[in-house]
Amino acid sequence: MSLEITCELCPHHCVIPDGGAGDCRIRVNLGGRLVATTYGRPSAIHIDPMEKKPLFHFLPGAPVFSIGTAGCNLHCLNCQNWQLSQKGGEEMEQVFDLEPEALVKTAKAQDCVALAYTYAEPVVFYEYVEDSGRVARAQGLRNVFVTAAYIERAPLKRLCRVLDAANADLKAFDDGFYRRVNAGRLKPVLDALVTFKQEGVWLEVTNLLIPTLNDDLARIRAMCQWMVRELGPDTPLHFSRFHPMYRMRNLPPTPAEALDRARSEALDTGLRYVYIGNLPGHEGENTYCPHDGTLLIARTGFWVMENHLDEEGRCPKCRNKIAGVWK
Amino acid sequence: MPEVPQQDRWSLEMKQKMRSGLSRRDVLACLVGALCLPFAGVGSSAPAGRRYPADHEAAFYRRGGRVM
Repeated sequence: MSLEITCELCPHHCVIPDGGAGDCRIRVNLGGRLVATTYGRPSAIHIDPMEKKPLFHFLPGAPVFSIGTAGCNLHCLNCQNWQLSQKGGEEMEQVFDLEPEALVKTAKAQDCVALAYTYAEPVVFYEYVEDSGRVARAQGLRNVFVTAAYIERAPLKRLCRVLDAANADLKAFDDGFYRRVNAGRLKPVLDALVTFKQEGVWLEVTNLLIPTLNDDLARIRAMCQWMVRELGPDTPLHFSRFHPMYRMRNLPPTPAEALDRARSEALDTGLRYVYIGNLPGHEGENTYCPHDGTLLIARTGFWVMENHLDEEGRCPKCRNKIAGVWK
Repeated sequence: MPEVPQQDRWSLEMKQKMRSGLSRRDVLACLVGALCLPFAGVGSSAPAGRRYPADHEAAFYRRGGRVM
């Protein structure tokens, strides 16, 4: 009898022989049973400000207990966390033993208001996120998912029940880019972003702008128009600055002008909150009222320097409500 | 004059340093390193006796290969 199995968590649908692992390296077929080998075994743990996710419209300045395990279902040539994402669990030197209850207890002891599943790709440690999310919810913590959103609809829909916010990468509005640079496809990512929105999870989108590869203004415009249409104009978009990394060291960091141009283009399409990341001190890190231009939240890097919103998230001048989760 | 490749520049610097002997700063750095060595890795590995990797059954899979 064949012990081969098919993983249906992400669009890869890996067919895994007995003893083998999926493309993510951490979902392993053991005798015809699929095992999540990094369950309760994070390899990266930090307390970060919410802005580092980045989430700019979700509990500004709040400390988030952030974890990540080995493994990823994409293989981006420019990965910033490749030491974690492009390895299997057994290859990690640093592994913490934190079952969901212990994880939540530790986060609460550190006065964190939320757990973030991040660093590599939380889709691949799905079961750990789901169980931890349930325990965290029961104890008054929020759950934040930082993802490339390469996941099938049914599992994502189920996971959304425990998620409060997500920052999802939209790496390019170009299927060819996804195939060449990320070893994935565009369509499932777009579907996942729509699912987050439909399921009521607060969503922010990140687009890492890589010189010559995905900085074409026409494509950026098309991406933003799609966002306005499918996700709504209140969905924040973060244009992030690329730095040469991993297997993509041949390209220079994104020039500030390219980020400015992309931001102007995005604002022109009707998106109301467009940010620039990885460029500390840039005015594109701040939140401005889309109605009267008042400075609402001033940031430097990951730090909130001023916050003028009231508890309901209203502009102090025009009293219009700013989209987001503020308490 | 042709540019010296980075790798060669480092080894040149290292050779010059070795000829000139270790500075006080180098000795201090070695001492601090030696003192810290016993503590390196504390809390950074799986506790002894714990099985690894985890044996938690995953969701969303089915028996059999791809349906063609």
